[in-house]
Amino acid sequence: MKTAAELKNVSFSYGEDTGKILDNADFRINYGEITLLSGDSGQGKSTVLSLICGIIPNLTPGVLDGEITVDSESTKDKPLREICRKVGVVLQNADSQIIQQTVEDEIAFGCENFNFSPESIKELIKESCEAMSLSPERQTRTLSGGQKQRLITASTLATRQKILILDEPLANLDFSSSVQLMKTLKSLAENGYAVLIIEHRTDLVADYADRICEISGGKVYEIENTKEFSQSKTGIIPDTAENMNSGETAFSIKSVSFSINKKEIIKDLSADISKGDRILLMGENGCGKTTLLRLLARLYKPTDGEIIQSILSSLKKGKTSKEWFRSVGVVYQNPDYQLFMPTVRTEIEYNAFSKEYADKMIELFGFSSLESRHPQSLSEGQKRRLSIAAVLASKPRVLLLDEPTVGQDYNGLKKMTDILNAIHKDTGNTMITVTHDKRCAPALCDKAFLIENGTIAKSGGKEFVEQYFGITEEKQ
Amino acid sequence: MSNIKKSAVYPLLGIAVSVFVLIFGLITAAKDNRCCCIFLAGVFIVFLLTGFHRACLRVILPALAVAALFGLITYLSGRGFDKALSIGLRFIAIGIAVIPGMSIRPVDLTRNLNALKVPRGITLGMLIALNFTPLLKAEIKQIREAMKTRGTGSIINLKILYRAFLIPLVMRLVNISDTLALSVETRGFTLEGNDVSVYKKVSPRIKDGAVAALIAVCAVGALII
Amino acid sequence: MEKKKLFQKFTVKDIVFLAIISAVTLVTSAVMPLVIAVPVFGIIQVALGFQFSVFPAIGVMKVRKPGSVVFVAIFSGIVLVFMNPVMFACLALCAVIAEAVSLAIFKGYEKDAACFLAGALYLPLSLPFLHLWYKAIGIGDSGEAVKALVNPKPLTAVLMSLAVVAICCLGAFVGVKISKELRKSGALKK
Repeated sequence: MKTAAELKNVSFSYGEDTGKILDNADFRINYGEITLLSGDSGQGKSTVLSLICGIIPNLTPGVLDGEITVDSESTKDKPLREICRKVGVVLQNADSQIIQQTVEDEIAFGCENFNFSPESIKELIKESCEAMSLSPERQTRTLSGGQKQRLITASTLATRQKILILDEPLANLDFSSSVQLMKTLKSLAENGYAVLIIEHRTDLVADYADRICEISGGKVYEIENTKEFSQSKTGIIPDTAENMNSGETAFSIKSVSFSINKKEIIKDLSADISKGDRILLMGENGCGKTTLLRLLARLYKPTDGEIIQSILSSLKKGKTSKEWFRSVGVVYQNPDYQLFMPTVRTEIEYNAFSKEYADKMIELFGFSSLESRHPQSLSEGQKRRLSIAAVLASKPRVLLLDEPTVGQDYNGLKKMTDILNAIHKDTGNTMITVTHDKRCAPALCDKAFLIENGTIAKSGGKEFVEQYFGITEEKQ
Repeated sequence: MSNIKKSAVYPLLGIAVSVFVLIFGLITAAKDNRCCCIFLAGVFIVFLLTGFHRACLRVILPALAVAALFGLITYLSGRGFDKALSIGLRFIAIGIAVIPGMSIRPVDLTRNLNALKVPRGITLGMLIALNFTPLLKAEIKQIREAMKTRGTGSIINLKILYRAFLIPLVMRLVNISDTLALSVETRGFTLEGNDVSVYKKVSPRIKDGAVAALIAVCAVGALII
Repeated sequence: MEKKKLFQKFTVKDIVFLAIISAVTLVTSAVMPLVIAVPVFGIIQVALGFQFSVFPAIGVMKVRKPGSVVFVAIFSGIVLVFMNPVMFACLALCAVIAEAVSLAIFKGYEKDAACFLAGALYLPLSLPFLHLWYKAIGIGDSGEAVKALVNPKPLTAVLMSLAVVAICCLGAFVGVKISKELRKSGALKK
């Protein structure tokens, strides 16, 4: 296989005084192959991406040694634009990258920058839309999270670079969208493209990858036994909690419907949730899981039907209060919205049940050595854990978690799952989780609802979750 | 292949029409209510018939409501019906002047300015300032909601505004802009390069000339009548 | 040590941040169309003072290049031009003057005080500008709002001007404070 991009003896640090993130590292990707680059948070996966596509040193300075080649040419002193003519990059957070109002214009943006003729742009829009199942006329702001991710991928595909790098492309995709994207990438690789995927969810990529590499301690290692490696990173996290169902009803959802701009997102949904239950909400992107979570938190009001809560009896129908949100803790998918205090300690102590309980959370979540740090100085994984710790510090009777595992490496994920279960065991709280992550799904549930088209299509216990995520088949 | 609607008017002409309608409307509202009424009604009909109908329908009710409110306040403060009407007409003039702006697709304005060799930094900035308002509105809503969930209290309190609203908002702005900047640069955007193509050229059409002429007729007609 | 050039080139990252800052300034200024025709001296500046000082100050604190406030004025002006073209021209000119004053005193944006001054001056300058503008072109039978701006009651003019300056200073101070806090945490890099 011909080498597409290569790092030879590369060392890099972000500053003179900071440690080396890469230390004499060698790494290559080949045309005609999908390469998966795996590794724990903070090990330097994104640094490798930035080095290959020229973000380092063109936009991000640092101390760089060694040689980087793209398509057999050294990238030294080459401007970013020149490198990006050969390397297409799909970054995380699609929502922040969409600059145009329609799918067609968004895809055309890169093509125009690379000075393609209007005729070829038209053709490329058509092809990339077909590959990513998008309609060119769609308004970009009406796309779901998964569709936005596909759009950003499509706009990169349209610019025709033969080397593609994707940074956590599956982070917000459900199972079927993930499979669709991986199949597209596989066919591109079969057509001679070099594809590099940086992804925590190795379970979804491993089957499609031709090579798997792991970055650790500043070096990149090629994994020989990919099957064994894949199993070690995709193991199902064991459930360490007990069923704390008290038999009392926490929420009684009665024929609830909810619409935004005349679009019905939740349709005539009914269910009962008992106190002490751990509920898992599953389903494809845009099926209404997060909306249901928000309805339970009273952040939305049902347009029809009602949700009767037995958490805070003094609360008037449809209203919220400070006390309500102390009783019902909501953890957002993006921790940046909920972190605002100047130190980790004050963040956890804010609205905490008691100082002692806040101390306990600091200890439990491993923030003892970080308590004087500014929350915004933490890594993404740490911020996510901090937002959960801060919400849990008020000892809520109900905990609503929206995709708490996005961007977490396997060890971080396992640790977080164990902590959530330990607190559940300790307090008997009701825990309702939305997740696409099969590694932790069975460990966070006693009961699961599969949401389809805004209503509960099926429900069941742990076995149902295992069946939904295909864990049962793997076990067999 | 594409069914995407083009801007209702040549972008630069749209801006010129907006400025003209606003200035002429405000001046006539101050001098002669009847003249202003005729001009604004004429312009509104021209806009309705020349492809701006969606923006017309979106604008007219809020503009009338605000105009009625301020007109009523003026009338109740004892300054007479004419003064009240004059104040109301000003708000309607502002509303109608916004219509061409609402009918210009930011991408068309950008392509228009790119073709005229306006620096790319300016066109990119305008494109972002216009297209990111819905996203930023949603971000602000999300932060206000997150404040509720952490039990922070009212945003009117300066301490709370600073800590629980502005800090997360600025963090989001920094993250969004860093990601967006990386994304546009890796998609080949540079500030220096002029060798860019335009996917769909934006050129003045006969209809644009007709709109400008009809607006001029409305102005002259209103003055004569 | 090599002395830094006063005028440095803007990067794509700078432009994008300033555009986002402009967009958020606009989003938080939705009250503008409601106060445009209210006949009280300086009412627009009072209503928009905080937003038009806190966000430009943050923009300059991050970018730290002369011209940053002018960019914010231009980018936010694209929406303003449809509602109040005079205000657009006025804000662009005020941005130039605010930056010129700040740079004349501090010779660049290295110091936080320079960013504060540029942010705090930007909007209050529009008061004398608009006053002089309408006086120069003659108000004739102009609306009450313009009349209130050109011939205000002295006490109202003094009190409202002080209020505008106070609000903008507060906004710029908050903007600098936020930027310093986030820069210290490493979240706000240049």
